[in-house]
Amino acid sequence: MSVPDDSKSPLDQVAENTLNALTRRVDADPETVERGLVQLVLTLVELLRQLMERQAVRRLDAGAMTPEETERVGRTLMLLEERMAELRDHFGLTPDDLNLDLGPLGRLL
Amino acid sequence: MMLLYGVVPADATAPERRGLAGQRLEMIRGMLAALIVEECSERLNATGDEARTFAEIICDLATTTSILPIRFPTMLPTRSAVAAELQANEAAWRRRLTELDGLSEVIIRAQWAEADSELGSASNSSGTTYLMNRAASIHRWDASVAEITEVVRAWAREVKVLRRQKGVRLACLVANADVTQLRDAVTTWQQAGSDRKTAVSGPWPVFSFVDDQEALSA
Repeated sequence: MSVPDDSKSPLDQVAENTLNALTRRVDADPETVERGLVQLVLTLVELLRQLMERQAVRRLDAGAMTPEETERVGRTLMLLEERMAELRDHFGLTPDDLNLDLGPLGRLL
Repeated sequence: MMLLYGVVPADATAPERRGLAGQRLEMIRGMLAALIVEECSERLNATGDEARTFAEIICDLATTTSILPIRFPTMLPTRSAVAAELQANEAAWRRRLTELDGLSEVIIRAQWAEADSELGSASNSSGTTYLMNRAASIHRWDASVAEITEVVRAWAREVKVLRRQKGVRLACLVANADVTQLRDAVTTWQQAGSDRKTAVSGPWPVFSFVDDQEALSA
């Protein structure tokens, strides 16, 4: 197993934080506005996906799901994750692009 | 357009270097704080290379003065707009500068052996297997954050969980004198478990600990 994120230097990783602020905004440039809007929509979908996943894990931990429910919910989340990856690829986005800087409230994801 | 780099004490020495746009960095001083800025002819594209150079400049500036880095690429239209922002925020900025004096940011990244399989399990598995793997990953992540936070508790004034795709990434606010001890503590923690890998970087300027309420947004 490799050291975490070893493809990037520490400075590059710090620089990510400074760059993310821009990429979290919807770009109003007419040539790139579509990508900006897709980025925003996918970020919100990713938020919902993560919330659903956390809720499913909580129910799993609590023993509140039957085996059939576990399979059905797990498959739904799995397919959603796959679909999200496809959409990110289609629009040239990375997982790191799916976030929003909410200023005083911090990052959405 | 004025590109903003960071907030420094009002009596800080003016930097003698050029910025991203090739212009000399300037200081716009208030009574309590000052802003380091650069005049730019146009809005920056904010590429990865520019962000890296921006981070390098902030790191360089931090070697000579306390600094609150400003989110890249924050720009204001004129010097007078910069002065107005400074006047409106300098009391809060000065407070935060004082709080952060002598402190640095250290970033800890931790990853564990199961992470790759847990995150890459979407294909060729049942829904139950997928959900069980995700649950294991989430539990492992929660436990790792709690463990590392406990490990660094003696030295870190503040700990922030940073965005991550794999493993855990934490930013710790540490006194400059304690950086080595924190690093050693994390190394010891890593060695205690064969399935974990960590990387510690820093000390850095306090990128993650500038209170957003006191920071400018573009």
